[in-house]
Formats: sequence, C-alpha cells, structure tokens
Amino acid sequence: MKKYRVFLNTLKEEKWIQEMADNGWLIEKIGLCYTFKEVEKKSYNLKMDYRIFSKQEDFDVYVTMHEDYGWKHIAGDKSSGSQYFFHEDNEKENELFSDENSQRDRILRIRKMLRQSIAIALVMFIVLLSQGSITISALINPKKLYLTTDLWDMSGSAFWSAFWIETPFALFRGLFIYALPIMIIIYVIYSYKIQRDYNKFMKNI
Amino acid sequence: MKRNKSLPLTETVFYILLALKEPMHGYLIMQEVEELSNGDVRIAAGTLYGAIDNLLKLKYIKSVPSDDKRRKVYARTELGNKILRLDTERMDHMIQMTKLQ
Repeated sequence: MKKYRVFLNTLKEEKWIQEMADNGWLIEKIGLCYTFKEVEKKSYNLKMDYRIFSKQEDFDVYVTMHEDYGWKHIAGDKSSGSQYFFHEDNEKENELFSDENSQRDRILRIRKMLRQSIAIALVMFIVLLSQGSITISALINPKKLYLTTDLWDMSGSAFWSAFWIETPFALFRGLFIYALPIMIIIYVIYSYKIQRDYNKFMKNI
Repeated sequence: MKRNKSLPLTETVFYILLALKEPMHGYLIMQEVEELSNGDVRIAAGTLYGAIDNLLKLKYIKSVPSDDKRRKVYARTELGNKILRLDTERMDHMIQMTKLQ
C-alpha cells in the first residue's frame, strides 16, 4: 500500500509509522511516498534513528552493526535521515539506545537538521524577496495575485469570466509565494516543540 | 592540575574503551562489555554506533584494516589508553576517600 504524506517533523513521522505498524502495516520504503506491506503479527518492535551519512561505507557499517544485533533495517538510505529498524524479538532487543547520552544525541541530530532547514528556507525566501519574485504586498493582499490590472474594477459577467480565467494562474502564483513562508512557520513551530521536548528530557536526567 | 574535560567517562564509553584491550568489531565489543560488567551493561545498537563514532572523532580509538568491509575493527589509541588510565585514577581516588570514612 502506498501513502502520500509530507512530514517536516521527524518525530511525528515516527509516531505515524509506528501506528501503521500497530495496525498491521509495516513500512517497507520511504521515497516520494510511503510504501507499506500488510503483515499478520501486530506487535512489531519498530524503532527510528536519525542519521545522515556522508559516505556509503559509513552507512553500510552502521546497518551491519544493527543487523548483528538482529535489527532489520527496513527503511532509509545514506542521506534520508530517518532510519527505521525492526526486531522480531521484543524481549531481547527493545531499544536502539541504552543510555541517556545517546537518547539525547538523537534529539540533537533532529534539531540540527530542523535548524539547517529553517536557515536554507529563510535564505531562499530572502533571495526571492530581493529579486522581486515574492513581494510583501502580494503576501498581505491576495488580490495582487491577479495580474489583470483593471480586473477589480470590472463588474457583472465581464468580471466573473475574467476572474475564473485568471484564478488558476493566481492560485499557482499564490502557492509559489505562500509555500516558503508557510514552510518556515511550520519548521519554526516544530523546532520549538523539539526544543521543549529536549528541555523536558534534560530535566529528567 | 586541571582535570581533563572529557572526564568522567560515561559507563558506556568506559566499558567500550576497557573492552578494546585488543582490536575487535562492534558487536564483539558489546559482548565483551556485557561480560566485563557481569551482564549489567548491555549496550544497544544505536548507542554503540554513536559511542564508537564519537570515540573515533575524539581519537581515543581508531579503525584498523580488516577483511570485512562492513564490519570495521577498532583499536584503542595512545590517547585512549591515557584517558582510560586518568578515569581509573579518578575512580580510585573516590574509592580511597570512601574507605577513609
């Protein structure tokens, strides 16, 4: 089964993939979409780590070390970040991390990725803004998305036909203009949430 | 004398360094640690990978050539020996002080 989802928050992705597994859908592949396969058993020991590797060799060493423990690497690649493992034996191996330092480090890796994404999105936004591809006035006033200058002065059927003809183009321009700021806002919210989780975690140790 | 910034080592890191009295690969390190600690310390896979990665960066251990490309073999460095000794001395001191009470 293929499912299309977009997750900016890796911890939310993890939760969703675990819920799917609890319902008998085991993750198989993460690419443009999430591919699941139906499984009989419903208690899978599914865990997520977050790592990006610069070399394929390092990734292979990483996966092999987990395989030696009996963890099966089921989704993720060298540069995907999220790495999903599952273990058949719930009793013997139930965690990927056995001390607080490594649990904390996983959160720090996710936080680092989020902060980098925010920085990149901000730079892109500023560049587009300075080039005039995105203007603040269009952000505030969606009417500006319509380029026909006298559109809003028209009335009756002339207005409606012009309006409907141009709406798809305006929507497209809107998508382009709003996507980045919305992405940045979502990233900032998740970044804040992860920081909050992290602070809570640090208080407990 | 100012104490080395890396001290004290965590239990995981201390045992990994201790286990590497001779070169071995990841999973063997975990088994050796389990034995050395009488079964008390069982290092999980992600923790082991992270700890080894970190120890390599600190140059306390290095990877040595091996036949198996997917299983790297690690060995303690001079610096690793030193840090292990310093942490042992630190713990020795605590034990001495405790015995005096």
